[in-house]
Amino acid sequence: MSSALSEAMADLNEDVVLSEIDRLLGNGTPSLEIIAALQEGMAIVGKRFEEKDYYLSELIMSAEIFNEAGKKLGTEATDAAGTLGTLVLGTVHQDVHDIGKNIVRSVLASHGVKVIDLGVDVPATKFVEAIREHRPAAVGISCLLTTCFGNVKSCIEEIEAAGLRDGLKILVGGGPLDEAAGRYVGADLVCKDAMIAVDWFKTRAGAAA
Amino acid sequence: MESFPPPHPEFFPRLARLKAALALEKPDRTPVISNSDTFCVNHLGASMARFSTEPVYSAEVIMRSFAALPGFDATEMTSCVPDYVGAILMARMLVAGRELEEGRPYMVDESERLSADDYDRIVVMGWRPFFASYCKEKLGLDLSEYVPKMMAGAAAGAKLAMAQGLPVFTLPVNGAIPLEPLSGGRSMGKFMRDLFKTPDRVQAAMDVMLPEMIAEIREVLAFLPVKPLTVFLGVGRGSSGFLSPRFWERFVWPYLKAVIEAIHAEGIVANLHFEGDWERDLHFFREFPKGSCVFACEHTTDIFKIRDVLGDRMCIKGDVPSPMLAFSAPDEVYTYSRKLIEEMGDGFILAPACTMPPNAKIENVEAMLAAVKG
Ligand code: B12
Repeated sequence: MSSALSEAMADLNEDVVLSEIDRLLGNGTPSLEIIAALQEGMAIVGKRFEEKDYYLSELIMSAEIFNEAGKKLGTEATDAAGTLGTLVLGTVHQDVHDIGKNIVRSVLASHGVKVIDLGVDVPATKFVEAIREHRPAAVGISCLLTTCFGNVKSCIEEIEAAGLRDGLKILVGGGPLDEAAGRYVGADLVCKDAMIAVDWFKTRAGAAA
Repeated sequence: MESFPPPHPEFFPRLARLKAALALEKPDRTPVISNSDTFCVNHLGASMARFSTEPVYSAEVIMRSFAALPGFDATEMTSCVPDYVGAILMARMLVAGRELEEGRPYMVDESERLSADDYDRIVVMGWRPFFASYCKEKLGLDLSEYVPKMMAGAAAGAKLAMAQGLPVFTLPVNGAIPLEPLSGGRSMGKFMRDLFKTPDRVQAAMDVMLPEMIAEIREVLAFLPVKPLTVFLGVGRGSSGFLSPRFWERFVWPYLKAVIEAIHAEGIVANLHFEGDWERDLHFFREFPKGSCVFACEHTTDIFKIRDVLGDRMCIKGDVPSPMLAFSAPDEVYTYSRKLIEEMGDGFILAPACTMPPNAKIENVEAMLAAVKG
């Protein structure tokens, strides 16, 4: 494993990350190994964030770099790295806040979850279609507007009505979405941050193993 | 000559109450105010489409809503101008009757419309010429048409507010600090990348923008017949939670300080409408003269921490949370409001965190109003 790559990722040094990937690909290092090194760097980013060495600026930048690195490695490799399972993710209908959702995407991807990102202002039907197509372990719905709590609720109801609720974990998150709101919308788990979802995926993988 | 009706009997007592709170003196009771926009449409069953596109109509709806819910000491704004709110974030606004169906609150359509080269263009062209052409080309908004409409809305709102004895609390002018429009126009991911990779280029644009943004505030103030109580400075993505200290101290604080000082030079209180988490940097704001700012918080920063750090320097406004106003029982709203009134001290104004949510329950608004009466 390339510790230079992990370190550059942790230090948010994009130029080094990208040239290091080129070098590793050039000498035949398997993509999965490269991704593992990137993931290790992202774990350090997460730790620094918790310790308040890093702020959202650094989390967002780490997501940018991780995405760029992913492009170099190709979707096949990044999908294969999603060993913990798949998450269908989106911001609920009529809500366009996506800074938090994008952080969730990169944090989960960097922890080995395959993330299908549907974007913002996502109608329930799109969630339903994506669940049919990708058979994810969980759905993540982001919502920052109290006026859209009703949309989260009806989205979950539509997933249920489509017969897709069984065995599917429904994760919700977003600044004002607290436990009470989580009960109101009918979610399984309210996530104050992305790590809660990571922990859920890890526990599930552990239980399955 | 136009004759003026005598002022409404409530007007001056309310104004005195607000001024006392702003000056950290003892008002006869805690003032309560609200920034109500789309809430008023739902409250009255008005047209969201007209509200979102006709500033004068929005002013009428807002003032009718305040009249139907008596007890507020001020309206925060005079009217509602979504297209302009979008423009100051360099984003397009989707509104009912145009892009959205009737009844839906306006919605920001943010995407990457500002390119990295635009930083250099701002430096070459100057901010305001750049902004006017950006609005026209990228947002489809002709400022020379829109600004007069917007001013008509503000004037209508001010007149209607006056007639019902309701002071207007604040005057919004622009995006407060360069970071807010730039981060909106670039979109957050790209903007952060710019801060990391080409900070000097970003700063060069900001340094051109700052004096022009200050000049704009001065011009609007010079144009008004009376001084507003406060000037509105809305900052969210410039919050401490978003930026590590090295960025905040370079791209937020110097600009914010300059704008606040410019407002103070006009003898006006700066309304620090700060969204997000500001805890880490609260102490920076201690340097401003006592009573020259109001810290308007929206519940993400702990209001009691703000009191501990800044309570002896500036008035604090807030912070009944949106979900509480929308979903809780009136008792809970009353109890929370009472707690604030009792524990925040004299320099305090009770208000919803940020805007009154569009789905706030009427009985919850009434509970807030009842709380100031004891
Ligand atoms: C930036 C911002 C905006 C930007 C959004 C830019 C963008 N591209 O996202 C713009 C300017 C466009 C915007 C617009 C509006 N906004 Co706004 N906005 C904010 C602000 C300041 C920060 C939000 C943010 O990015 N936080 C940082 C991220 C990292 O946090 P987060 O989203 O909570 O995500 C974290 C966790 O919650 C969790 N998480 C989130 N989702 C999920 C999902 C899953 C599955 C998991 C596991 C975890 C998870 O993980 C994330 C990482 O830790 C907040 C203030 C605040 N206190 O939050 C207001 C706020 C959210 N906005 C608000 C409002 C009212 C609006 C507008 C209606 C304003 C208007 N009148 O135009 C519009 C609505 C537009 C729309 N229809 O969506 C209100 C919402 C009030 C309410 N609860 O109803 C807030 C709270 C401000 C306030 N107090 O009034 N806004």
